[in-house]
Amino acid sequence: MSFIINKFGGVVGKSIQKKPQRSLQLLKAGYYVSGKQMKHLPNQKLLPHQRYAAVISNGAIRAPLERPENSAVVSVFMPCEMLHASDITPQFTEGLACYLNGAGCEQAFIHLAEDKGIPQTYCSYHKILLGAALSGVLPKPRFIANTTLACDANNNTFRTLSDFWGVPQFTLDVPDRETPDTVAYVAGQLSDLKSFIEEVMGKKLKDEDLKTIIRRENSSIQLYRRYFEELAKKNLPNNMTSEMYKIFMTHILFGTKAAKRYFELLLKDTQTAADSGKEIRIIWVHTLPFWQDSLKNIFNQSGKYHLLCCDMNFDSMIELDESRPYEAMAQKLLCNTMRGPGKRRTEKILETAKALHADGIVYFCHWGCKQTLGNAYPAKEQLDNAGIPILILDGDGCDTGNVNDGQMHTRLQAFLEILEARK
Amino acid sequence: MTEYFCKYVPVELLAGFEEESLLYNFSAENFDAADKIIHRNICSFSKALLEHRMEKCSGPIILTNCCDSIKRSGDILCGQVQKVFMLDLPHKDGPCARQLYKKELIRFIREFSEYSQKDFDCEKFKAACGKQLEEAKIPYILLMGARMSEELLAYIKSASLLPIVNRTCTGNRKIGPAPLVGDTDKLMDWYAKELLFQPPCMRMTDTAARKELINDPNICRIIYNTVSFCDYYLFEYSRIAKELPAPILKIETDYTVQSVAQLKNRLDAFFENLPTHKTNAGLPCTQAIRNDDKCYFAGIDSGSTSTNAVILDGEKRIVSFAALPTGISVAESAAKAFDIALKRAGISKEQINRTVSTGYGRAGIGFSDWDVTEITCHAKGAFFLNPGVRTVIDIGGQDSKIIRLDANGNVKDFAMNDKCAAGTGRFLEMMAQSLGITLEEISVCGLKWNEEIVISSMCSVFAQSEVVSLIAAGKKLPDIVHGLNVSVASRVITLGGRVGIEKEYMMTGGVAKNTGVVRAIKEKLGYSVLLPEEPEICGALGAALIAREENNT
Repeated sequence: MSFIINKFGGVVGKSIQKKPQRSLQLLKAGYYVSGKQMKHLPNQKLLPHQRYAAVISNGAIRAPLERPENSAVVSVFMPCEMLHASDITPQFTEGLACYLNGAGCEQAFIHLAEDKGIPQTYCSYHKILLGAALSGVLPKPRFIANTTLACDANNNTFRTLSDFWGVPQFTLDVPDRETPDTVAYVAGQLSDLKSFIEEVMGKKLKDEDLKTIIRRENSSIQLYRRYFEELAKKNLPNNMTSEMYKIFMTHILFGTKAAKRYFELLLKDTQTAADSGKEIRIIWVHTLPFWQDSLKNIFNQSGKYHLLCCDMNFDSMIELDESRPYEAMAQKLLCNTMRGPGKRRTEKILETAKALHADGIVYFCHWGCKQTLGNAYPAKEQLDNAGIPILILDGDGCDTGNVNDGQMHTRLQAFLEILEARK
Repeated sequence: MTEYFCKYVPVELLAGFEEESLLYNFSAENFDAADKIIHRNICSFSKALLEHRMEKCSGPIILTNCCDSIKRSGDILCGQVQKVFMLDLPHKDGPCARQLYKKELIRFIREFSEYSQKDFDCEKFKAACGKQLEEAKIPYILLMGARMSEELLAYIKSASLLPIVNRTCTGNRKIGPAPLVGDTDKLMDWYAKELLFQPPCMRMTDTAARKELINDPNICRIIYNTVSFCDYYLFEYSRIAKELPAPILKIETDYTVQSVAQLKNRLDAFFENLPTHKTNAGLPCTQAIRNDDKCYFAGIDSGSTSTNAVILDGEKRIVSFAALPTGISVAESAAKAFDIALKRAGISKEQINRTVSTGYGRAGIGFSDWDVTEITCHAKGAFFLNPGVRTVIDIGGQDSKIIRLDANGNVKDFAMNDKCAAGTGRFLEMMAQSLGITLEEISVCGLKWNEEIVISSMCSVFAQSEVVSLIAAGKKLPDIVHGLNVSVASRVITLGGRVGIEKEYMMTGGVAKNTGVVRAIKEKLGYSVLLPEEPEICGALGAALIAREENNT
């Protein structure tokens, strides 16, 4: 992390308790400047879709900070189609936590959250969001909307935030089984969510606006599928941060014009990328420790190691039927690979690994994510049996103080050396 | 025998199959088998359950997908070809959720019938319903929070003089009597509602009804239980801890038999401060009691790092003391410290009226008349040294404690570090070792710092590697040590946040001799900290004071 970011993060962190508004103003100014820099002086090593994603993600984080009264805090798997149809900007846990990490101030929020009694064993993304909110730095949104997919932290975090801010909360309960009954159960709740949004925002959500979002989302999925077909035979330079930005596009921004543009650029860059050769092709499982220099330097824009995709970016790629929007969104949620038994997720990883000719899987056990941790050993067994090498790597996607950096680096490097020897 | 684990499991349905059931809620000896099949940072109960299932059990088990750890444990058991019935439990309890759960119950009846080759008998099911919550009409201690192992529950019940009411998540199961008429479909409609309308556990979306658990004037103390790597209940604890009129003790278990033994110290300290606590009054003394100033009282503090002894006379004057490193044998170290203190006082063992022991090794000191936890003893000693003290910050070798006192010197509340060594004397020892300096040197080395270095790792093992990295990066020794001092201070002050701290502050324990840590704590508090001349002996002093008090009862 650069000296300037360290200093900036230190200044932001020192004010969060006594002068939270000062910290917020600093963060907004910092993100504004970095957004401008990404737009006008982008990193020339990045491909067009990666530069575009950096700018769009920056805007997605800034908008709810600038206009909180027009924003909702959401969980990453929350279907945001209705929010976009109502012009509400979503702020999501993992995105905000990564940005606060990027500003060098996540430690201050983690310490504050732990001081307030949030367990040390809790997911770091959620700790940072809670610290940002409970300190008064993160402004109060209009409402909260979360799913129970895919982790327990959603129940705790969003209930705590709703109580703290005094804003209405909508929880979308997503069962673990996919049956006609569970589809109807989720669809019913999504219909209730529409009424909830209308009531909170005081305006009607037009069906036609929702259909427009769904059509754009379907076009994006078609582009994205073509990208995967191309990726199978290409060596597309990638990096952890860009892969993290992709989660913005495949989740909370899905259905927006910006996301569709991103998928167009992604496909174009992939089509023009070099053909696959002797590079080591890796699928990453779960979130990415984009902040960790020792790891990201291995992959970033490397021709030797190709970071193909993170599995959160292919967790639910089905098109929606605009004539039955609630059932369609319910089906999409219930199709998500994070739902239900862990072997569903592993099967999708295996299927994608075969389709993309992956040489190995890095299974990242982000601190506090029991769903992912609990599936690590069964996934290893399942992938080992299928002949796909897998590395289980314990770490933290956003807490710089919670990793053994040297050991992680050694383990990843040793794994890649094994894959090179096999190739 | 079919096992189950959670109150939302439809256990009464098993009676409809004439199948015996067992609530599996026991501690494990170790996690040797579980650690081979599941990541270690998973809820400890899940690991205890897997350990048991892998080692001893092959019968069916009924689970609900109540939390991430159990979901994954269920996956693993299925992969081990065990018969697992996993029920999809809604997070909500509205009409749609009830319909969904009703269908799950009907599915379970069908699948269990196929598995057991038995027909479901509605009448037997109905006869099994009707479980109400246990109640107490007199002042009682309420157990709340996450599930509590049978071993821990049994210890608490045996150690408490007040009745115990168990409202932890396995203790508050409530199913009303079944309706007399109705077919299976209607019965399951009713039963789904009963199951979902129990006092909610924290994984349910609407937990408002949990307020009723603490809405009883007969609650005089609360023990709040948490399980390591189960995050649900710490949220509730942090929300309600400061609102409750009754004192609350938070404990954490990792569902091992050893953790039950480790918790006894905290529980004993909690029970010691109950109004009804029995003292050692009336117990035989080492000799006949004398109330003149020529009678003496001894306190022995057997800590993990040092063993200390204090001898008081009848006028509460410290006649002598001794402080030694704790050797391999707790009893021998205690005897040695006692002998030195006696020699310094110029008296013989026979002149000691009563001896009270404290500290981790307190139960292993054969010559003491009574043992009391170090929490009570440090409080007693600190208040004796300065009656203005309201918060004792005791940082010893293997743990750190914050003890809150009332105006009479009684313990109001306390918090201890969890198992991690960060924020303890051991942490500083480890860091001194990494830096190649002595404990004396680390005490003053950080006072002349220039660059502010943040030791961000809160785990002592990670902190050690962070320190090594800082050395490699050419950072100056005083700056690194200052960073460590601030890290310890932050840990301890965070600990204080759990019980609330107020001035005057006094530091006791060996780390009170570390000038750098003391200064960092003062800066964090923004207030001065009282330091006894011999902070290490405060616990032994408290024990000696208790020995003298008991003499007067």
